[in-house]
Amino acid sequence: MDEFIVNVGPDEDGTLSLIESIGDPKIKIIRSQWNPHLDTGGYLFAQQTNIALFNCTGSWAFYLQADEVVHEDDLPLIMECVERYLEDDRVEGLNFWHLDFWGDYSTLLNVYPFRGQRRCRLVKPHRFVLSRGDAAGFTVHPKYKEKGRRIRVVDTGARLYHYGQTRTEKTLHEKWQSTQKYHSERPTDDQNIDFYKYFPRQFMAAYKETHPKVMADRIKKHPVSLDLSSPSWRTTLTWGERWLLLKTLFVDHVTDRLSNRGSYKLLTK
Amino acid sequence: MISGFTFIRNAVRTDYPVVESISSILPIVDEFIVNVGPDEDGTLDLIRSIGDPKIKIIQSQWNPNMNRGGFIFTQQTNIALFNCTGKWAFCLQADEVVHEEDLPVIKKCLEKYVDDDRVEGLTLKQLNFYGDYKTMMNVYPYRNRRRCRIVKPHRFVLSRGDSAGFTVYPKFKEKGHRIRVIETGAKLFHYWNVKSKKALEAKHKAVQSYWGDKSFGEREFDYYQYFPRQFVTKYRGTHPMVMSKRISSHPVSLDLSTSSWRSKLTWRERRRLLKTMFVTKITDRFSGRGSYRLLKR
Repeated sequence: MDEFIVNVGPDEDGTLSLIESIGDPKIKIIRSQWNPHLDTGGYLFAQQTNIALFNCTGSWAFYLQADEVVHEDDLPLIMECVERYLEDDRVEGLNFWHLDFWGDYSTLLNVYPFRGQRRCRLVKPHRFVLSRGDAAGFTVHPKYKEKGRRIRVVDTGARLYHYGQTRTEKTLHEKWQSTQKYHSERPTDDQNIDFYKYFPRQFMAAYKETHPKVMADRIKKHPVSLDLSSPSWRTTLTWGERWLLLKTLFVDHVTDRLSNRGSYKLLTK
Repeated sequence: MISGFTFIRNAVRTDYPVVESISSILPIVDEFIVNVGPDEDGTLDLIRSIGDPKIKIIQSQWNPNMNRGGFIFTQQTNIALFNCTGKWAFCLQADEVVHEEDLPVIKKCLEKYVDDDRVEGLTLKQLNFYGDYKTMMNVYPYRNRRRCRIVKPHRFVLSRGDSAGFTVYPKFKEKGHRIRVIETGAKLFHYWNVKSKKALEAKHKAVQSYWGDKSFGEREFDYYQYFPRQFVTKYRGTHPMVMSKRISSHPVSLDLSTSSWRSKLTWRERRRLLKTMFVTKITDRFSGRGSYRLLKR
């Protein structure tokens, strides 16, 4: 990577100096304002992602959200794809496998849509690519006109570690409350989160492999540790949850193989 | 709250009236976002010299791979647009100026349609000047061109094409639609080719690198030959006050009655004149032309 664009919003807690403290000349900081009227659906995140995207000068742009980490073992795999599809105009983006952790570093969410979710994170910024929806993916608007279409992607097979929920119950609750103002359509949830009760045991799986090396310090210090065999887990399912398990099965065995889910068009390698 | 926004790069070298442009709407906006590209000729200092606390400068990079169709302008416009915090955002390109007489009209529309969800943008009537301040383009698509320049940034609005207008992508997903606009009736003075020859050449060269091959030719620019006499007309009205200094020091003056004008038309130019008639008399009355959907007031 030759440059890393960091779009820092209005700074209230020293985020800017945190980014500056990385001290790498590749890092280019842009400061932005956040539109207070875009308060539903997380759409503000797409705007802010686009600001950073349009500042990219490379032939490829690698997008990472602030709680996503790439494993150093996967970097060669990614580089290979980046070189291979650089001149291939069919390909507009590259996909990653999302791993969603829950509570600690050894518990994975194992249901749709979290499990094995493919995320487009590497795009060609000069191919009319725009951040989509709540910035979960990308879309293509040829010539920036009215008719858009799904982005054409290739799977890299690389993993994307998503540590959004790897917090303590208290900080997770705080995070959810602070994002409320960008999702004002969601109900305010004043109840405290209990890791063992929020999702049932059936939604979880153990993660036994290694984590990215950069995370070592955080993993060592992490105060939460969930026990998958603990009886504190909720095991009675609501009807919605049963349906979700069924959907997970269905997606795994049928839809995911035939077509591909989500907002991209998967090309065969 | 109303935001203004624009993007600019190399304004000094290409002699864009960007300071006049920004100043012309400063009285009605609460903030003005200026997206300044990589600075090579002191543009950044020029913007800072305006010295108004409403002006917020953002510095950006320009993607070198976006070298066709002027699409880089859209990216840069969007950067400024997404930084706007107002309920309305007023886009002025660096050579567009609003007349102080029109500000009350615009202000009234802004207030009237702020909570009307049908309306996503407002249009202005663009006057395209050619060569000097009294010569105006009089053919399609330049004559009285409606331009959407005021939008609601929280209604999924994005800059369109080569940033000539705006488009709407609900929820920022794949399906977009033409922006729904109301006509304000206010004028937009576009000092298109109103520059000294040197600045004009610098502009064409700069623009060419973002347009690929589709642009002005390499040959020397001659005002009297580039367009035929039939394409231009005299402008008799007043100009925005902010422009007075530029107008008095402008080096070019075209004479509309001189015989140097080309009067022989190519077939394409004849077709253009015919189309101008057709558009003014028929299409423009019924539908809105271009990339917007005109709503009734």
